[in-house]
Amino acid sequence: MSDSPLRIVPNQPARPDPPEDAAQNEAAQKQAELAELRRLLVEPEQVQINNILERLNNPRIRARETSRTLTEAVRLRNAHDDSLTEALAPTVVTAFHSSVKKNPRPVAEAISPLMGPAIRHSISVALKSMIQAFDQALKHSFTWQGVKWRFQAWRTGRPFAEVVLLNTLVYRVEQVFLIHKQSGLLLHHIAAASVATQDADIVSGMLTAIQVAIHNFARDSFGPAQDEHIDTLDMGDREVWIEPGPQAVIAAVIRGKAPETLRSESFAPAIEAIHNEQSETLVSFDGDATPFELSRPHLEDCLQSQFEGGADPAQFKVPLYIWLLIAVLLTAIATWAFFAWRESRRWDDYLNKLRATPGIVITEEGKRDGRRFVAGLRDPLAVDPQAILKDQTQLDPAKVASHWEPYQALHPEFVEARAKSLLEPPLGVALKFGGGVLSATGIAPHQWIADARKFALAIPGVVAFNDQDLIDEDLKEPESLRRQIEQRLVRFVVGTTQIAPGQNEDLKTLIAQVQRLIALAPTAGRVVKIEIIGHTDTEGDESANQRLSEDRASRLLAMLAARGVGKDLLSTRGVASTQPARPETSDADKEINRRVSFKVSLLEARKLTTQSKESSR
Amino acid sequence: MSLIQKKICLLGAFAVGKTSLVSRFVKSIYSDQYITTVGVKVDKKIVKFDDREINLIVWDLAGEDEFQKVQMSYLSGASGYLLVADGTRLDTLEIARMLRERVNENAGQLPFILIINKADLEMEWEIDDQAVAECEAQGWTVIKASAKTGEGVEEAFTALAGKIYQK
Repeated sequence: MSDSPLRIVPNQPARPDPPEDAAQNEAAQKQAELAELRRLLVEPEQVQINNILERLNNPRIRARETSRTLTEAVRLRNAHDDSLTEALAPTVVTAFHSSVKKNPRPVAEAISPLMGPAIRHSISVALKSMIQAFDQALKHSFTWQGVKWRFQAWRTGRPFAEVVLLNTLVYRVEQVFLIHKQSGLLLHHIAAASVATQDADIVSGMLTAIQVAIHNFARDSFGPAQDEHIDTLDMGDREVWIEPGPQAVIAAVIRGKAPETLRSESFAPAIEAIHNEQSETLVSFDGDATPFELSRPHLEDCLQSQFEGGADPAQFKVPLYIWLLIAVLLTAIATWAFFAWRESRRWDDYLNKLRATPGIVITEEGKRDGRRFVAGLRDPLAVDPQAILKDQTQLDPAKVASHWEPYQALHPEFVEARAKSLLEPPLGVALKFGGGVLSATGIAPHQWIADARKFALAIPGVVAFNDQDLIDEDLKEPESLRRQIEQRLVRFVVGTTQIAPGQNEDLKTLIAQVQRLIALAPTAGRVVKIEIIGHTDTEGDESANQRLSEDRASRLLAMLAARGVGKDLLSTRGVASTQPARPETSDADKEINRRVSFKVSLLEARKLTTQSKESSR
Repeated sequence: MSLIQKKICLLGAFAVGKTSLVSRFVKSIYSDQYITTVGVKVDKKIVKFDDREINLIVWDLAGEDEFQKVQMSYLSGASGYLLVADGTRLDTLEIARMLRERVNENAGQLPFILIINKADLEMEWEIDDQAVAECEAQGWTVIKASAKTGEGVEEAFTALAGKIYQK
């Protein structure tokens, strides 16, 4: 076809012109006549033809006319065969790509209504398979068979749900491969939940290689056969079902015994649909499998499975006895929890009581071999923890182990208690401890006081012993005797050392008192010293009176010494008339002033020793 | 799955070390123990070429010998192939030439690379430099490789990937 516009031109003479002029003219004449004749004969047709040419050569007119018939033409063509679709497909794909590249929004908006359902579908498939596995597991958990399967799961290290699934399985499509028929390259691959898959690329190649190998073997053994393909590969506990299409193949890995209808109802429609939707992509496949993501819904439809007893999760009900079992278990757990809680409360209570008890220190507590134990330090004076356990708590003493190390607590009450037990104070003595000082009050025998002074400071915690308010019991009578002796006086005849008459009884009593005092004093740790003081009245010469007073004192000393009183305990002094007993207003007063009086000292035995040492130096 | 996949085949005489080359290439482990390839072994390896990743699906075909012919139907859909010869056996180069012709008859002109294996034993080679030069004169790409040391292995596979893309 020429690309120049069509044009009908008047016919030119076919043969060359003769060389002569005459002949030339004649020919021209004939030509003109012929043209005239043609004009007369075909002019209307000529005009019509020119009009048609005009319509054909004018693209605007042609476009307008094509547009009138285009829709009808497409419809007719499509009714006839699919060639128009095939022819247009690459253009549409390119247009689609360039449209997305330019502005993806319109396309995104157009397909977004499809995305939701697609995602929902895939999620619901995943959920369904999960629920199925769970229900199977639950259903078989409490039967004898279930126990066996549990043992099997433990032995093989597989999850229980999977073991149940495998045992109740009639069949399950575990994996579906979409394989490019010619090259064996993997276009898409999906697997059921919890199915372990190998490298799908390699498996795809191997499956194809196996098919080729078998095909070759069949051809070599039985001669060539047209369009023959392998439809099942037996691989031990699994089968591979192969459903071929013109460009691609579905290979489904199936565990168990699948019904033949699976092929006609699932696999064949799937491979057909994929070819319908992606025939162009399949034909032009050159290693890029990305577009075949679109085939996923069809492949997912192939992931079918069936379990024993219909295995409809909706119909499955938990039997009543399982509910009862669960209820009993829950009650048991609740009861146990309550008792455990109460026991624990009681234990804490006991520990708190122990902590609050002085002289007990908890260093360790807890539970060992089902028995509670508590260990720590205990002052032997503290309350017995076993008694607290028995009397103040509701714990079973047999279930509590205790271990106490003895120690001495320095709490004031313990120091006080220890002081009491050690010093054993007599009745009438009170011991008090505070601020490191042990105080004793009351009346005590002299020996006890002496011991207490010695031992008090040896008690841990005691830094001082206060006995200021402690009265020495053994000093009571000596003191009384002392006072009585000091009140006595012995009267003398005027101007002499002669004892005035009528004092015999008084002298006897005096001597008895002195002797008793001397006998008692050592019990109170004292030594008696008696100073005998001689006096005169104011009559006469003072120097003579002095001598007289000394003599009168000596007279008494001699008398006492004669009655067994040690001279070393006695001393004498004369004071003449300087210390009258009463002012001399009468003779009776003078009579009283002519006398001997006594000054008694109860010296502490130790002090006396020191004094005597000092004096001897 | 966004990678481009390409099927390639390994062809060569019996015991030239094809499987060892694949092992070297795919897992980078060489086994001295000779592996007799019984049928087809499929493996894969991702190579990088011109900033793109190519998933090479390697079909390791059984070696050609007097009892067994390489089945050309395995080449269906292949984007290229590697011819493997054993440098220490001159006849393996002849078999390689013959295999190439058979491929051309059955599968048409496909990109290929000639690997001469056992470069680690170059002292014992029967295939001399002249024979190599003759092949190169025909426009073949010849790569000396050693499955034992790994020399040239990666290079050969990458070179084939390159040829496939220059096509």
